[in-house]
Amino acid sequence: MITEEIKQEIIKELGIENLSDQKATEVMEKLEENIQRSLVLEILDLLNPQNQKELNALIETGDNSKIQAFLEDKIPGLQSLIDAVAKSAIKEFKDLTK
Amino acid sequence: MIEKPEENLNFENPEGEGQEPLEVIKNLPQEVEARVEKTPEEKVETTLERQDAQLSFRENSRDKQTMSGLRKWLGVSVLAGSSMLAIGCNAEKPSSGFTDNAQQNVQQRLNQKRQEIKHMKEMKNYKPGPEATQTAKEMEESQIVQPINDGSGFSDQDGGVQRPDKSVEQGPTGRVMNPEDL
Repeated sequence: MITEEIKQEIIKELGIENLSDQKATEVMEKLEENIQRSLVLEILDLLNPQNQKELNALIETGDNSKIQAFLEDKIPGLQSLIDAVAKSAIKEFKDLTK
Repeated sequence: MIEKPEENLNFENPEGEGQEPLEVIKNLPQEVEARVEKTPEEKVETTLERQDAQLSFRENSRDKQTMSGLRKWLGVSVLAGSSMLAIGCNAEKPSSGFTDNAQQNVQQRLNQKRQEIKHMKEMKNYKPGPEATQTAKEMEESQIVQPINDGSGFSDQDGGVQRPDKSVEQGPTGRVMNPEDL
């Protein structure tokens, strides 16, 4: 849950401050969803078929800590990837809405 | 003899009156819309739709269950109440290491405590080797000839060595004064 302060900062950064509060919230939710989808695709792109099978098995167990450990092992710099995907999606959004 | 080409072969209806217009012409918009600048709201919607379409295309070849599982993991483990938007906009609050996730919090404190105990055990069983003993001895000895800091910011003129027999007098500011200056 993001605070109101952070929300306003994000709205300003995205350049959607001229939209109504409801519309801005909708845009943020949709963009957040798009970034998550994009990140999932990037992660899958980095895993070979064997690793993807192992990941599927872990996902079926529902053990998030094991999934985390597995991905951190297979994808060095996972946190950097998350940052890069998020920043890239925001930049794309800002460029297209200029 | 060269015949003059006929301009209109439809002698019965030279003006084309009563004829049905072609299908293409029928489908043309009645009024030509003037090209107007998109509103900010329209721009935003177009951008999001475009992103959505690109992602949907890429997702087509992926296993839906895996993607759903990964998104769930993202929300629970990675973001833990944070937001990808906040990360992307550099709007994240600096992390103090604290997390609202009680289980994660306890785990962090446990790990920290384990590290402290491990370090204490190592220090308890530590036995200095001959080199370490020698270095420690040298350091102790060197401390004897260390200049004493009198707080004045000035070192002793005789190479920084405090001589026990030297009488030292201090001025009102604490500065060491030469007997001739007094």
